[in-house]
Amino acid sequence: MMNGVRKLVTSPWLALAFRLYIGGLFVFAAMYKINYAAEFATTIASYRLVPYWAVNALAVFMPWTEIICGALLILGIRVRSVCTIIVALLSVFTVAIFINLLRDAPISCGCFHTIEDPISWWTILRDVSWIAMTVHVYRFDAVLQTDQLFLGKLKRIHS
Amino acid sequence: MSNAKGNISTPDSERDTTDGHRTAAAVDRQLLHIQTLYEATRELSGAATPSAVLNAFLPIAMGPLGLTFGFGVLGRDGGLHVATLGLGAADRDPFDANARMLVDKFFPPGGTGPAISSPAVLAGQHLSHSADVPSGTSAIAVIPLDTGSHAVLGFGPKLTGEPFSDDETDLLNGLVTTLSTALKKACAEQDITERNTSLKAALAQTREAHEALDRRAFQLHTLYEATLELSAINEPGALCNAFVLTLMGTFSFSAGWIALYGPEGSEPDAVYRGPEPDRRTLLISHSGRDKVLGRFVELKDRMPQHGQSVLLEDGAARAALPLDADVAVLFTLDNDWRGAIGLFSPLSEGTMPPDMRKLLLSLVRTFMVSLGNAKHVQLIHALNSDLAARNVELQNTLDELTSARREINLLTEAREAIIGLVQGEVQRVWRASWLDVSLIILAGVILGGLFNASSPSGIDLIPRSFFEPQPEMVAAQDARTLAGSGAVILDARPVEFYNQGHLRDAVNLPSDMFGFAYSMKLADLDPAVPIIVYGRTISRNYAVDVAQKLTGLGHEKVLVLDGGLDAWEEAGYEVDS
Repeated sequence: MMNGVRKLVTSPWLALAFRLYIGGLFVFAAMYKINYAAEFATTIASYRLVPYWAVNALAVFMPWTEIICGALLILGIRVRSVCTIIVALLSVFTVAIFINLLRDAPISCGCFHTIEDPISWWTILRDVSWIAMTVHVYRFDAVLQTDQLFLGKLKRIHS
Repeated sequence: MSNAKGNISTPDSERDTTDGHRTAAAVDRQLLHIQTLYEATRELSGAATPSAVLNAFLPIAMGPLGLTFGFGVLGRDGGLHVATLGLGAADRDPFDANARMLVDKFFPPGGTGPAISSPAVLAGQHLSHSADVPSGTSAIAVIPLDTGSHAVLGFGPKLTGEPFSDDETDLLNGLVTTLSTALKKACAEQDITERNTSLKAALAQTREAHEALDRRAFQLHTLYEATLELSAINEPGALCNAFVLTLMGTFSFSAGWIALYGPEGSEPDAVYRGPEPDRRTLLISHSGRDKVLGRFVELKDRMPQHGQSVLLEDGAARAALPLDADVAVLFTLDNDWRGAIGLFSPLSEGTMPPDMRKLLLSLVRTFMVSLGNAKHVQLIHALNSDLAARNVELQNTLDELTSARREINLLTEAREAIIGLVQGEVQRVWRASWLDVSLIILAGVILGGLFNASSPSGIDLIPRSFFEPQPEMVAAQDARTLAGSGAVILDARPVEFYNQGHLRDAVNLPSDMFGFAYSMKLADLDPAVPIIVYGRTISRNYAVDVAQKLTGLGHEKVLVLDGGLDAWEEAGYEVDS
């Protein structure tokens, strides 16, 4: 039973499912932010954590980083580096939400749209679960990777 | 002689010869004897040889003594000279045959007999019957001369038949002594003459030997000079040229040539010194080669072998050579190379003496040695050149190999570097890499910047209000005073923050909805009415944005609350929520 659970938990196919999910999630989330940079800048500003002069730049650059990471994750390219970036982004988001929850700030998450439900502890839990999935992908992902397809043979050069 | 003088001066005879006649006769005999001795001495001193002395002595001795015959044998250096006078043929012939025995009797060969050191005379009747001497011999005289020379004389009886008197015996002794002296003198003179003759002959031989030595020295000097000159030359052509000049100078010829022929097809070497220099072409032509080599064939068994040379004696053979040759030499250098040397137009007439021919052959041998050395040097030079070329090729090959090895090393290092790089990159693919992270973020920055710059809905990366002049600020106390005098207070923050808390009587005019909210709430406001705006967070300066917009719409006095809501609350003024 435990072995089965462990096998299921450590399955690369589960990691593949998480990878596709997280990747798609980031691509989806970035699509709106890219098209509405001004609104996303307002969302960032509503968190009251980013300096005044850096808000717009962050609103312009971060969605593209997210969509690149999502696309690479789906394709299985540089998975671990991408997972590192995604975990870092999600951690920043989670901390920012946590801080504003403590401030009792009346803001929405802004993860996918400008107008959303206000942030809550469920939002924290959701982001933590996404972090966990990303860590799982980092640790166990091994199938259907583009890197594996093109670079796997290079591992055998010395042998 | 001393005895005769003694007899003359004897006082006894003067006393005995009281008779004057006897005294005069004795004096006459003495005078006769002295004259005889004088005549004998004079006659014998004129004789040149011992045999002439002996021949002359017999009549001198026999006459005064009145002897019937006399004979003498002179033994000298193993030879005999026999002289007789008055002997008949019957006695002379046996005496001639027994002369050696007679001499050996008194002077035995090897000196085995009794030594006779001075002349001695034997006289007596007993001698007449001796077998060694002619019959009737009355006296015998033996005379030792010197080593190997001696004489024996014999005398027959007196004509009177009387025996010898004492005076006659003394006279005979004196004559024998005189003869001994004359023979010794003649022997000495003959020895001197013979030695002088032999000395002249030896001197002539010495002179001839000296001349021969001079010639030999000249030849050796010539040979030495030629060897010295030729040994310093390593080029066959120059060697032939120098040698033909040496031969012309040494043997007095005004022209000469040397031709050297190698294997079929090889280039001949030829040197010609003399008039008409074009004649050298005759030597290097095919016909010239055939003519010279034809002379070798003619020699048959005498054909010079390896390292040998032959003087061509036959005039017809010399005439068949390609060029004139009064003296010609054929030589064989080795199995491949043969040659000929010719000299013509001599400066002096006459044939070449044998020693000069030997010198010529010696010079040719020296020339062949030098020529062989020159050929070897030429071969060594060719081999060295070939070796140098091969060394260059080998060096080039080594350089190429070194270069190739260096390239291989570089390629190996490059391969290792590439493999290491690929391995590193491959390893990087399977782990989190700061480089990948940086590249992804950089790609996001670049794409985001490009898209924002090209998009119609793009925004300023840094808010425009950051660069515009800041509106007039007002402290909380002054703001409250102004509010009390009719100034309008605007809250520029989003409505959610306004609802959480705001200044009493403040109107919410969010920056994001400025146009809509202004038209709804402040469209009718007199521009001269002072307006106080507040609302600032770390991320947005809403108050400044709204104040700049109001100023832009023509409001004359737009003030920003310094410190915002926090300063108002710290001042203890009222806040509605």
